[in-house]
Amino acid sequence: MRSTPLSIWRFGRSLLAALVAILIAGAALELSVRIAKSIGFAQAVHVTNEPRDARPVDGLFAEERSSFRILVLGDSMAYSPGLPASAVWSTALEKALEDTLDRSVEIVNAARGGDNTFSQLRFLESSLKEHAGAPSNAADLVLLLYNHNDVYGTRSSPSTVVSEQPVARPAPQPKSSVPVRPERAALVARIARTLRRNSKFGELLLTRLGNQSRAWGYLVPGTEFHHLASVAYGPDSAGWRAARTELQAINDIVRANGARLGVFVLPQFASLQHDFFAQARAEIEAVASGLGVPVGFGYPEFRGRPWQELAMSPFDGHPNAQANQEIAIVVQEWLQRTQLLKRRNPRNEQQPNDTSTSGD
Amino acid sequence: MLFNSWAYLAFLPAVFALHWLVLPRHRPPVLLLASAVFYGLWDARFLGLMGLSILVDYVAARRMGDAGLAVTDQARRRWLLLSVATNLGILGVFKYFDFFSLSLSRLLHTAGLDRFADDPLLLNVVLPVGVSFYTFQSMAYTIDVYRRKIASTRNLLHFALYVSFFPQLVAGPIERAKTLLPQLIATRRLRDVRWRAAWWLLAWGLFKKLVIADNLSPLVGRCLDTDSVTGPTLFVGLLLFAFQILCDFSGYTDLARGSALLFGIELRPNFKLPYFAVSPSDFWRRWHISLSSWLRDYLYISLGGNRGSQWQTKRNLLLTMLLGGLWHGAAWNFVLWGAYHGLLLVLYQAAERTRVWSAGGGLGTVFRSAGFFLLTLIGWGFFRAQQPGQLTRFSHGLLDWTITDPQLLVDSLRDFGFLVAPLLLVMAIEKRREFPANESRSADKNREFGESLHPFGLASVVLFLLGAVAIWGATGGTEFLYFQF
Repeated sequence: MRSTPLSIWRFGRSLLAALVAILIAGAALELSVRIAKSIGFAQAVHVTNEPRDARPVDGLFAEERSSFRILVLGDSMAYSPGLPASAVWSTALEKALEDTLDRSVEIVNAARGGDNTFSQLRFLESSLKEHAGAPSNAADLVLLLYNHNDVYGTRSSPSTVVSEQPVARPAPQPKSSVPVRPERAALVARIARTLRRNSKFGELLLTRLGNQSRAWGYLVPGTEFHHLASVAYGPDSAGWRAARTELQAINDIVRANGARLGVFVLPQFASLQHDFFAQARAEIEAVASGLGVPVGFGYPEFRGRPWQELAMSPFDGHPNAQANQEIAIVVQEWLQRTQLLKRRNPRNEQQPNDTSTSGD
Repeated sequence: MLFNSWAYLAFLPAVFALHWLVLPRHRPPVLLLASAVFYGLWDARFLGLMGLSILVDYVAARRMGDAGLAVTDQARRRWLLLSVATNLGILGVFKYFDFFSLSLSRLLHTAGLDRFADDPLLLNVVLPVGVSFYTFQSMAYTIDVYRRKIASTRNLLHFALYVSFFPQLVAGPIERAKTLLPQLIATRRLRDVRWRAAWWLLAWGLFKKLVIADNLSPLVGRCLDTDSVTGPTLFVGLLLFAFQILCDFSGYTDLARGSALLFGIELRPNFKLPYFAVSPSDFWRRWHISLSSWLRDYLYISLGGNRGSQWQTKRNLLLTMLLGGLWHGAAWNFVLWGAYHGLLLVLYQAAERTRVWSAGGGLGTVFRSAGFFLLTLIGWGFFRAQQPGQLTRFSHGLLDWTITDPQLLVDSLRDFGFLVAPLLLVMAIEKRREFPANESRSADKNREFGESLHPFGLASVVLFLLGAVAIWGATGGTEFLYFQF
């Protein structure tokens, strides 16, 4: 009979000890994360999308030069946040092309974090309208580095879009096809928000767990990766429908201005172990080929590589300096394969459709 | 299957549960089956190769060790020869054939015999994971039976489990039959499991591998894998590599030992604070102990050890270290690394006879330790130079001490300091335990660091380590460096 209260006492004591152990470990982790952040430990630093320089609007290229001109449009993957301009792939590509082609090459990287085909189309339209005919605005090649921003649920246009009001947008694509009880979702969101606000460790842990669950959840309906892998590029996707129309419009504008268009899709460098997007790649390739636009994919070139080699950190899939160097090589080889480095045609002259593609 | 993979996270508890649920006599088959699954998930074809090694060594040991057969010494020698030839043959074909063929081709090319050098015979076979480890472990058994140190086992299943026990199958520790076989056969009880040691080793091993080693890896690459490396970046890069390889390999060993403890089986420690070594012989008593003791017992002693003249001893030392270097990989940089350590052993042997060597007391030990650590770093330069021309670039870097990229040095040292701080703390505590103040605490020497903590303290530490792995650990299953050997 005496053993019962004793057992309860022991159990309670063990439970208390476990709670205290969790608290001590949590405090030690919080302290170590704060120390890491204060000293600038590489993995603790989240790369922000602060602009390295403003996107050029007034005349993209240097005046009156006989160089081969490439205008790069794309999102943060092409912009490569957290690195100086000298370490970004477009700088390395410019030098490499000059060396191999033995001619002057000028690349303007006008990519921005969050860009999608919608904002890129607006940018092209306004830039060409305001500086119509200016030689500083005439590209020989427009390189569009595509990376799924079109098909995310929100598909918001970046706030810095130049000039025109947005055209009527399709309704946002819901991320989840699984109904979630609002009160439960609100509670989870509230806990996560509180944790993020008050704990640096909590913030990192949630980011990490979020990445992991997305990576593993691509088979699970309702997760972001599942959406990207299976829904976003399907026939019912409003985002992809709009992106296809805008891609065609971009192609028309580029060709009308005597340039050529190429589309290259960069991978997320923190998740190269698993091929989530084969279906999406096939869809993008089919659409681009239909438009006569050469398309290339980075994933097959980087497949299976660990994030340590190529990503900024496990929390940030943007390319690091090493990845930027390799992107330059991959893009250069693709450009040479697809004959996109041919000289610019006279303005307003339509080019014959080029259906050469570089798939995986 | 990698220890640092999600698959292993599911595999280990499943095997653990099955192992303790079945009757004691069914435990060896369960572990053998688990080992086959563990290894077969890499490449099931190589299970056959391991099976060949097991079968030949089992038969050879039975023929040598069975007193009833009254085998002559000459016949015993022949059986041993068959065992050694089979294992070295496997290594020769799968690990070294292409290397020697290419080296011969280059040699002929240098000699101007291009007609013979142009088309070297290459097998282009994949190196089976862990082949260097299990062949050595299997050979140790047959040699011990030949030397009559142990009796041969009658049970093929037990012997197969001894060779293929999954925690230590692919990267050691290289166990001896005398200690491992009896444990595998014995009836083990769940209540005898050293839980605290197991938890500590698993958490600490994961932390060392995923947080320290894998985060040092890109920094090492940035410092060393460049076209023009100068002295400061070379020094910092090698310093980081020294801790990367320590944490990578000792992390694997800890995970192996922790996993084995869950089944009530104790594997030998492989590292004992190697960077506190004061001499190369001390270093090899602390670094990859299971390999260095294997080389000592089965190669150095077989060559004659220190029984001959001084010159013969030196020759044996050099030869042992050369072959030890080659064991690490089929490349000349590993041979050079082995030769370098062999040379250090010979030089230090001469120095240790002088009075100056033991001067200085405790401070002298600190200086000797620091001095040998610098020599170890130079050795890691040979080891790490796996790209063509990298060794030449390193040697040029030694002569040029200009600081070309101060930011890289600052970043590397900052991240290094942050990552290695917990390791240094544990090393300092373990160093104190290495020389206990009084006799009553000498038993502590054989206990794991985690076992010396109060359970409540251990729980905090393990939670901290796992939390750190969760936020800073490299995911995606990066391989352990020693797998390639």
